[in-house]
Amino acid sequence: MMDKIKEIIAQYTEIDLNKISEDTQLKTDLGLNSLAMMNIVVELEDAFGVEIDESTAMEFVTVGDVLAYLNKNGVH
Amino acid sequence: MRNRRDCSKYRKEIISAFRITTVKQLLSVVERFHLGKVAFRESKGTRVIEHTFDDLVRDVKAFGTMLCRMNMQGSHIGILGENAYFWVVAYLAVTGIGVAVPLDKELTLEDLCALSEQGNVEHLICSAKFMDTALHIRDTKPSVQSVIAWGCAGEMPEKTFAFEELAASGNRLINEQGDTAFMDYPVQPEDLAVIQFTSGTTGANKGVELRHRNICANTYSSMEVFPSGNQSISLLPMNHSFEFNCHILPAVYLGVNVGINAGLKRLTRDFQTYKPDFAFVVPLFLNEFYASIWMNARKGRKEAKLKTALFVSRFLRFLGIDIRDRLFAHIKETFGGQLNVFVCGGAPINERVAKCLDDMGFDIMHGYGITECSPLVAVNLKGRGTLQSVGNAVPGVTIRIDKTNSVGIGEVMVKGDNVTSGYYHDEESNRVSFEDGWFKTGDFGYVNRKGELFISGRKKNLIILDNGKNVSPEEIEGKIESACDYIRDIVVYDAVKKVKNKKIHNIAAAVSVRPDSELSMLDIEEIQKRVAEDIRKINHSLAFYKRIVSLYVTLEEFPKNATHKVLRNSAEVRRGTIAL
Repeated sequence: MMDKIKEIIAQYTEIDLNKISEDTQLKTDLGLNSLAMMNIVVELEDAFGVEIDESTAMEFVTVGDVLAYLNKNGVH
Repeated sequence: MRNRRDCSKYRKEIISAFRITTVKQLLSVVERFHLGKVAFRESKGTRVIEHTFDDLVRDVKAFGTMLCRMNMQGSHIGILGENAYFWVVAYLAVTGIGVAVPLDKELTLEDLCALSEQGNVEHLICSAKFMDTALHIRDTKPSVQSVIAWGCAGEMPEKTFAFEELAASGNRLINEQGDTAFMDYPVQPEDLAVIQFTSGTTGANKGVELRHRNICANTYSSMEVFPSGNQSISLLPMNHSFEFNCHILPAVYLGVNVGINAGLKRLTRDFQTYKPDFAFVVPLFLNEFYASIWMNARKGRKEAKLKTALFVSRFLRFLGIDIRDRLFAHIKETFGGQLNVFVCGGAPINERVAKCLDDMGFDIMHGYGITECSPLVAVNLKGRGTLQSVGNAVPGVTIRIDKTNSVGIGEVMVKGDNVTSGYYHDEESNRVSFEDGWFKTGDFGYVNRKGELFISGRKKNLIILDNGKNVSPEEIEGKIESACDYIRDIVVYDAVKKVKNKKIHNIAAAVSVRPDSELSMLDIEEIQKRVAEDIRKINHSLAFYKRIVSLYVTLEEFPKNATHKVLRNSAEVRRGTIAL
């Protein structure tokens, strides 16, 4: 699942896949503004078939937070 | 509507047919002109639900009838929730029998309790999402007697009612018993319609009293400058007067179909679904759209192509040829394909961003308003004047500049039917805010020979230096923002230092760098160094006393209020700085 998350983020940000890890910060390391973040959330929802609430998404700080949320919501 | 001329002719016919003096009379306009048409569209999961103007009139009357049956006439009723069709129904029904108090959903529970008390709220209408918040307010504030919620499933708690059930009951009362309590309830132009809280970037929220006369005057002024088109999208919170009074109410009056955005997450999809002709935004949206357009161009390796297209567009427009629609069709597609106009207000505009979007085919109407003026004061109509100006006063509104300095800058004063009669239960603010029938906006500015208004800054943000010189932070912020494309937020402020028991005033700047800028790829020390270099260069173009002497640079976003204005006095902004 982590590979898919990385692929979606890398596609959107044009950042090298290898530079994205669980500790990567979405705002400061990847340069995601709130609008860009929401576009990625939509891609994640489509890819994993899970609903991510907007206010929940705004609380994600790292890629690891996204992974943990998806795990918690039954995506493996 | 076939074209702009048809649209304008049709609108003139509607506007001249009535002269409404209460918000409630809007229902008569709708019944006369718009029945059968779609009024609002909103997304529920993957479905798009359409609400016609017939639904709107029926639901307002039905819900209003039940409010009367529950003896809420004359009550102050808070509205709390995300943008929704029921938000509009609640507002129109409440203002038909009492006073609406729109509440900002972004506020903390503590602030919402305080504002409910300040606005003397007796009942709360909320969305399912804010049910727990509303119940907490009701249980904490004895003055709040009941809660009505829309979108709830299952059994409702005690003294809590389902909006939809009340509307259904109200409808039965009207149809089966001929109940006319709502429509018969008298509303006068001087009656209080809304207590609108200011968003307050530097101080406490103030409750502005907006009477039916004020709101109707603003509706007519807004319609005079309303963009042409049959479809729009609602992006800003409806509790904000700019969105509701300048967009939603005129749209209902003119029969415009409004698509309600269900949050930032659905922004791109909603643009595609609703295909709006125009949108009301704050500058932050323009900045984000601008950043996204360039990011997508970089992603598709089309940055150079876009730059060339912009150059061609500017050159041809200089010659009087406008082919922006063809040159930037692919960009317009991401906004639904029909979007032509952004109406922007609420904060100073970034001229570089606005100019670029304008070159791409999005006309920018930059306006100036203040909650106390319901809120519209002036608008820079597309294609006229400079983007630095907020344009001429709108019809029905008069402005003058008070106590001008040597270069003609003074406080902007406003007069007109749109101006509030005062603040709710706040005698001190009422005493200092009016002078000889003019409202003192607290904004500084000047008017040029064409009557165009230029805002130079907020009076309360003004920095008064030890030498008596006054510095408007917004003026310096604008210069830096235009020169540095990596800036997300900037605040210039008065950094007071105590030296031997004496206060020394220095000008400081706090800069938040866009995380998607090239600069953000560097480490923070290098970023600070580069920003400091740029500020030093800009300092040379400023009068000596206006120069920035200390700086704070961060990649973090500064805290903002619900209308996305930076909270200028927050600790996250006013931190320790590096000397320049």
